[in-house]
Amino acid sequence: MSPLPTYAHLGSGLLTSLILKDFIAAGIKPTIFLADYHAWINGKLGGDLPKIQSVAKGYFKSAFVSLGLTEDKVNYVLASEMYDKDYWKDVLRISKDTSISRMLRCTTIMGRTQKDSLDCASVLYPAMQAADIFMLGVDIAHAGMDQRKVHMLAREVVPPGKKKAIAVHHRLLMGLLGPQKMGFEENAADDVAISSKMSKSKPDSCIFIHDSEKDIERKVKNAYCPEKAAKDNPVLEMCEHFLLRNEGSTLSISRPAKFGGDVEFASYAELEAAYIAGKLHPMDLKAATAKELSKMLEPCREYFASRKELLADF
Amino acid sequence: MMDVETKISLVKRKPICEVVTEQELRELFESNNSPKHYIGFEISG
Repeated sequence: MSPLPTYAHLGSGLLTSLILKDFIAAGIKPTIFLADYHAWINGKLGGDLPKIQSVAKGYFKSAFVSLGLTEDKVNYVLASEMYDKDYWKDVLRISKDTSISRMLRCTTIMGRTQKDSLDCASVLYPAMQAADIFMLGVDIAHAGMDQRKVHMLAREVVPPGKKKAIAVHHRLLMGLLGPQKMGFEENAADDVAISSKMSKSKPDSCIFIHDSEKDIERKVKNAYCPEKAAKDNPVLEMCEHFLLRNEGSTLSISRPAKFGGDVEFASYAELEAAYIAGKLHPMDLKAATAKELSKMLEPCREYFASRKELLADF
Repeated sequence: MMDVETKISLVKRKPICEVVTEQELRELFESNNSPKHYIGFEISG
């Protein structure tokens, strides 16, 4: 399961909401699955299952609603509320059809390297996630690339009478601190992708959707942003996926005349070209990015301003 | 109503980087106007 840190951040929250809005426009009916048992197995929130469940139904659902994924558009499901004996039978069936070594390789989906000492529940986890897909009866299983191993497994172990899901994966957003390597995957590129993603265990590596404007400004200001480089540049990545995602979006940069004066970009391609050519300084890019991101996230701040008790859940 | 190829390109927009398989997705859209999807999240702390 894709982990959600203490608070919903841009990767999990905002990016998901933008992708899902596109899917909805294509006629797809999304479900956001709140994987409480999976969080419990993965030791989240101190292994306190009732707390996990209340946070799932409270804060997390609200985070997505605040981003525009209201209950008329998206179906919200708490995992444990759906589990019945057919589900557990499927978990057993999948487990019988999968070798231990393959299942262990799949545990990278939990965001832990194989070398960590895992408990037995962790070995059940990938089978549970595959079984989730069949239980929900979905046509499309969607997640970040870090989940692809279990999706490939799920396509191979379809129980009789159940649907084989199409797997759709998005590239994970880099954390603000830039590329990191933590040894998750045999493939170095996948390792960097998984290790670099926004993570609550790295302070200021992520922006939370209800961060104050000041916090957003500070985090973006401190973000890794190599000059004249678009590759592995988290700030440009945010511009591409959030600010200049849609046709017709523009990004305005205010600058004193001596540094080039004000400029407006009508596409990410334009922005990237200018940045690589050294026509745009990282500081100016960051200032504009922070400002526009803040604007985009204003509905979330407003939503949580009148619901402070949800944030106190932690 | 949106045609199938437009729907496919909407699904394939960045940062989506992989569809397994695109042909199955095409067949899905051809036979089903409201396919079911899910995305799962662990609740962390």
